[in-house]
Amino acid sequence: MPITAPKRVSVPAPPRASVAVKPADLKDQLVEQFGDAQTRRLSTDTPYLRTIREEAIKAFDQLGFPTKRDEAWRYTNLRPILRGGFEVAEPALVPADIDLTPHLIPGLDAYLMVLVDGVFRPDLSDLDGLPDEVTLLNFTEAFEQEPQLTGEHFAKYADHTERAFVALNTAFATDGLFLHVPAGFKLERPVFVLYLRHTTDAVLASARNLVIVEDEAEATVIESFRVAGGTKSFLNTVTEFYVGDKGHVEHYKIQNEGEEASQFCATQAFQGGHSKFHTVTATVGGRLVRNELEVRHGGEFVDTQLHGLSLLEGQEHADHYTLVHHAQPNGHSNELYKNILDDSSELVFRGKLFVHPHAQVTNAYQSNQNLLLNDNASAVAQPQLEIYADDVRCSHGATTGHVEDEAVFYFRARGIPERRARILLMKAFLSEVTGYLENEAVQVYVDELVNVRFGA
Amino acid sequence: MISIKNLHAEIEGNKILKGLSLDVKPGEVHAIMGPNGSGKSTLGNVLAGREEYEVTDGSITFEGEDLLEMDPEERAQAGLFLAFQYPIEIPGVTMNTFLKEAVNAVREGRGQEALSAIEFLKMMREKQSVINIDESLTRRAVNEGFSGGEKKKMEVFQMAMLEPKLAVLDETDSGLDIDALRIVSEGVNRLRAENRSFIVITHYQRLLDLIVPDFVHVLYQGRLVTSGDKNLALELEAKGYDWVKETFGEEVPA
Repeated sequence: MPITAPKRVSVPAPPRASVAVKPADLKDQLVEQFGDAQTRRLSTDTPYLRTIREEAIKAFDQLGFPTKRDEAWRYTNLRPILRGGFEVAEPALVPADIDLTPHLIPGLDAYLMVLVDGVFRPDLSDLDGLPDEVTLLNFTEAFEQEPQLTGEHFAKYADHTERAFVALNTAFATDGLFLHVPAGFKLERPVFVLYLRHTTDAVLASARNLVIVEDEAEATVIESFRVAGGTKSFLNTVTEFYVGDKGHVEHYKIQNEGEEASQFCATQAFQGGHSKFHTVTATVGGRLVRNELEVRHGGEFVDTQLHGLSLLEGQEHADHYTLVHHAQPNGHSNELYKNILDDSSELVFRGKLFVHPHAQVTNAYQSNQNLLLNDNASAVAQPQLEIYADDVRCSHGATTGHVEDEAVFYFRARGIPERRARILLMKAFLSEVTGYLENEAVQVYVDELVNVRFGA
Repeated sequence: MISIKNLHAEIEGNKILKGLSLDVKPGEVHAIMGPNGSGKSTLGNVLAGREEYEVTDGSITFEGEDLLEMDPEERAQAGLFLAFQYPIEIPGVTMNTFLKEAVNAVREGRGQEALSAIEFLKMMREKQSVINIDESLTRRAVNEGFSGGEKKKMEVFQMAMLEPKLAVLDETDSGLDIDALRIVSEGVNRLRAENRSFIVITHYQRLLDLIVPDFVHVLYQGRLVTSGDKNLALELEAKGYDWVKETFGEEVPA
């Protein structure tokens, strides 16, 4: 199917904030910009999309940015990020020439969709060879071409009325992946969405993805976040997954944007009966990274696998907020997050399991393990189990510790230098999570990121 | 090979070794026996370079070099091997990877080139036939879920791979039944060589029936109080450690 870039119109940028911006003022600015934007970038919206955007901006206006007083944001302070202010991204008039080579995953055979500062770049993307059965479009195009599918699924899983960043994303995002895999179809090659930061301006870049994998269908979606220029932008991405009955989605997310860049990234999945949703998040740096991962069971015998690793240093801060709604009987979920924290980096892990009253025979496991390499690093683990059914098996565990001296000594006693011993032990710690990356090229790539981080 | 002179060592302020001296020549097997708390494990740990142990006096010369100045990894590279009393489990690192890292680190330390994957595999096969271990163990995580016997056997296999000049066996017999003990001892005996020495630390004589030592020393209260040949071990077995305490012990105030 044909894919076109969004229309680009030149608009003079509003004056830039030079003093610290209050979150409430920034909110008002953004709401005001939505009004302006309606006459510009969002002018091609279908009436349906416009209605939802209006709901979303209204909700954002009421909610404002989250603060540490919100329970869900208690350990993540947005103020330093918001202080500089940011505007809604305007796509560059002349597409920047970007060398993709350093940002690709070597050996990965995939359909490639490139988004630069949240804007789809067909010239950099490679979507050739897509099977006729499968529909892959840029996000806004889908509303014209697939009104039924977008009407049925868009904004149904990500809550734009109660979550400020989801609302903001819903109001402003114009580009991103729309993928539809029909019933019974197995999409062999993965779809690779590459987000590149390029602008040196403090802009709000948004991207929105909708992935619909129908009954008994299969797909793999890989997201990678990279910096190819400036880091002052704030990236806000939201992905909704619909996994039909007996469907199977593999989802890998690699966040590797260095110590300066910040982002909010939400993944929302709805699973039909007997389906499998498996996600691995690798957070290898970021000034402030907030991930929200929410899965809802819409049928029985659902399998949900949530895995994550973080490798933080300097002043980096990552916040993994996960929520699994066991809403139907016989569901299974398994969650494992492993994190290594150096310097004065901070990690927040919150795992919420919500077992609804009739979700009997639920099996849910959760584990969060942290290795601190420095006394100044910190990890907060907050398991939250809300169980309203009686025949369930739920467990959670959290550990925080150091690389074991005994193990290091064992290596050294065999001639392996101390530094190498520590690297091997840290890699071993993470290997349980990287082992879940079933795409070999992705696994090798993440292993290599880990090696680079450890200077191995 | 190694010369220990007047060694004093302590841990957390507790004086454990109080003037231990021992000379081991190439190819010799020395057994060190002693009751609990005499300092047996401290000796092994000090030799391997465990940092919790502080050497307050004395010297250790290994192949002409000051061992106490060397880091644990340098000692291993120089040809010292400690078979651990309690080998630790390392989830996530296979024995294959561990040994490849170790063999190549030791080779690098000795100025040799690293082995290629094929050369390493070939070496693994050769040593497996010498020590007679199940190949599947090497594909598993280091010691994870291994039985006591498997762990000790794997220590001997590691020893075979690293080809040390001096191997220190720290109570290798502890926790082994007689069958496992025989298998482990056979492995050690196959590694005995003209230029390879052993210090066998044990509480029980039965290990010395299987690994026959050239010399037996009795460690008590941090010093070697008497030495002899293998018959000393038999005498000790017959008389018990109380005999050592009575003969060499100091008056303990009530």
